Amino acid sequence: MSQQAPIADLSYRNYDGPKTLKTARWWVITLSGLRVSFKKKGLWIMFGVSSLSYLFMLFMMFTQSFTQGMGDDMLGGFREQLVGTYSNAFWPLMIALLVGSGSIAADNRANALQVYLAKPLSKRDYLIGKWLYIFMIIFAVYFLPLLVVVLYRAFDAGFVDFIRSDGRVFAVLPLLAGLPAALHASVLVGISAWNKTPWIVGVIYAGVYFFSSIFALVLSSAIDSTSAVTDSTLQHLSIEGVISGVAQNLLGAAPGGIARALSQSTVPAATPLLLIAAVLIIGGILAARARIRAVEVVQG
Amino acid sequence: MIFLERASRWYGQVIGLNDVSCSFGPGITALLGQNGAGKSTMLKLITGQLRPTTGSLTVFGDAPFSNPNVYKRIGYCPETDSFYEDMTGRQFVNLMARMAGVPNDAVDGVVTRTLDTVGMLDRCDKKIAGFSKGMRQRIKFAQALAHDPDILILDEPLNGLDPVGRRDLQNLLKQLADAGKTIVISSHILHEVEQMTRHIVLLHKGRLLALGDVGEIRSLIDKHPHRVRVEMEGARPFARKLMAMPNVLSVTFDRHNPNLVEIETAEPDVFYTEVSDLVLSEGIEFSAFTSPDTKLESVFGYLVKGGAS
Amino acid sequence: MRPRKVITMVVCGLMGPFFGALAKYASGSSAAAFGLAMPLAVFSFTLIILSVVFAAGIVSSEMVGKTISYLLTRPIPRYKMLLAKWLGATLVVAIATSLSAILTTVAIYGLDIGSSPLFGVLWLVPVGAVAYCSLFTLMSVLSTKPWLFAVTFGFLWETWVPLLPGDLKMLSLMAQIRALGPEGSFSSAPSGLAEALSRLNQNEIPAATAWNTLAIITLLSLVISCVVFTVGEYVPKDEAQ
Repeated sequence: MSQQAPIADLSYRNYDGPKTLKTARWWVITLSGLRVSFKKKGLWIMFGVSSLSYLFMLFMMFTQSFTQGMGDDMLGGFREQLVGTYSNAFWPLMIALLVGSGSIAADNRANALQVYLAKPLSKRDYLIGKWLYIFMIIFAVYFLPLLVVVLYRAFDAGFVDFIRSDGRVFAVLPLLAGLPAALHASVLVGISAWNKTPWIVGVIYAGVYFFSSIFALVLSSAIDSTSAVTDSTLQHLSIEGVISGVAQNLLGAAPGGIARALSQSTVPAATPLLLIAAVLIIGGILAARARIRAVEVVQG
Repeated sequence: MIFLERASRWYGQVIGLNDVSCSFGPGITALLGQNGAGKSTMLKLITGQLRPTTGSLTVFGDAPFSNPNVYKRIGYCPETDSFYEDMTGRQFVNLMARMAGVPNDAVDGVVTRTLDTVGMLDRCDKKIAGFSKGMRQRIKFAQALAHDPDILILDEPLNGLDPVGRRDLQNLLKQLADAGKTIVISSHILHEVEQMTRHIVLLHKGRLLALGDVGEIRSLIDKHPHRVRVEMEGARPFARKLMAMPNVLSVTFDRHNPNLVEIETAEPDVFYTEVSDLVLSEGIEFSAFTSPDTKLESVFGYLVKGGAS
Repeated sequence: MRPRKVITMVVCGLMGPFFGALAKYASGSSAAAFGLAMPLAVFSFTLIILSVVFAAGIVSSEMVGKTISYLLTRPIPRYKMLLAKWLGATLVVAIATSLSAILTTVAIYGLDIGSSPLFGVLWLVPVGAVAYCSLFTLMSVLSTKPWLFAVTFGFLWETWVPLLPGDLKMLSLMAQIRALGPEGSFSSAPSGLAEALSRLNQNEIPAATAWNTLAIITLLSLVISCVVFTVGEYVPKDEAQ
């Protein structure tokens, strides 16, 4: 026990207590990212807008329960409706851009990497920390409304009946939220690490995202396939398509609603979509890992 | 040239500048204050980037906000270390000079001269992204100077400069001030500001705390006795004579140097006259006779912190 | 122009030719490939993304980079500075997108571009560039994150609003631009819900209405931008005190 002086020394002095972090070191970075993101009003506004489609779905389920299955042909069953609503991926993308585009780029601009990496934090801690906060936010953006809708349906239909007919939905919920979260987080940290300007990161990712959608559309329109599965798979060869296509495989249902009634959607093949997702996730993380360094080398 | 009349600036609920009236004329004026005192706000008001919330501010008789006529005569060196990083130093100064109205046929010569003046001519053709902090400061200063403005507004221009760079900049500013330019310089480095000017504007928490010559300001501070240091052989017998003077409040000997004595007086003017008479009549010789109180740092300390720093 | 922007311009500009070649290879029909690649890749992607990159950052990138204080203390009226930047952005977008449109046609038709519908739609590129750059300049003047609004407008609004029933499609700039082109030149191939909605909406926008609407949106955007930029205070946030 240290000896206490008669008069307490209240002057400023550096912290000289134990320095072993109680929690994982990357958690410090994650927490910091979450705090900064939660202060952004845009995040909450977009989360609200993003959840509107689930609210609409709740309303439709509520009215359907009074109409004794009328409109089921049009809207499809619960899983068809769920995958249709889930496939509206624009607002989660915008949330990802808002919270993730500056994740590393802003640190590059402010030379903050020098500060971070001069602490007892490794490059891996830094990258995991940055990746995880984007992942957690996007995961929550998908997971929370999905959970509300699924729980409503379970209680509305009778819990036991629901487990029998649609029980797999509960099991795949974390995957439904986790896949887009991992995709967005990985690609964003990958692009962000190579830039110094957050808005440029946002525009690049938006460009890649919509470019891939147009690519899939052009490809599926141009190739005259006789197989419905092949045609559907071609339509899903984009970031948006991968998210929706994997979800269709997980839920075992194609999107319901007007689209289903008119275009007879078929569940796409899972393998190529999973391959694309894996390439994007691993590629993004590797790209970020290759670029993160404390000292900026200037040329010219 | 620059007049502020009860100028205030609010940022929502926070006040940046509070009811300040003052003016700036030819010569160097140091704008002093702690962080958040309102220095940058005042400079942004003068350079027309912000408008006063209440009160008025004029530069050459015009409100500066969004006013090209005023900007023609102002050179502004911002505090932030921001540039178009992909440009070379020369390209940046050239662009700024053109935008400031330097004619196309003269701009190359003007830019070369200015870069030479700030000591960057030999290094200006590299990208700004690779510049050191000191080189960036010099380029920032060059772009403010290129169009030969009547008023120079310099926000922390000494930051990041090495001692030689600081001395060069101080000399250059003195030359410009002698040529009749109005120079407003904000800085935290008090002793270096002191080498350039005795004229200060002191802000504290958004309010104007003091304005004018450092010595005059000091003499008006009654709360703190004026301190004088004398170094001489036989300091104790001299101190005995000083004790007889009614305006002397205390005499303190230095613990480590027996020849050094510090005197506190309530009436410095009377004290200086009486000491002069004493020295002449008794043939006393001093090694040193200084007043630490008239140093800018002491005045700053008395006014801002309530005691000498 | 910054190197990264040049790279972005080149990459985006090459999307059209890439899609054109892909569509031609897959479908074998030049007309079908042109009908797919031109509206989707050149107009709905390259034109919009380049407008976002070059126009949405006109003011906000200076704010983010904190270089705005250099610009605002120059003896140039602010509206002139803004219009000069807008003009520069519009020219870059128009030239790059036009080149992309020409290369796309070459990728589909080879060097025999005289037999393609290119010249029927090429003149729409500068019209689109003027309209989009004006609107995105306004966003840049009004917001510190204009790219979020511009991306939302360019890729969400402009995808779905042209498909809405009745006169609601008039709220889309792309619908107005397409209305100016020769009939059938924008025979894109929407699928799913988009196809369903487009079937429901057969209303055509008259050319005169499209001209008027585009002119009004452009002028209004520029006038509001100039006024706001002239009277507004633009000081980066962490410098504000």
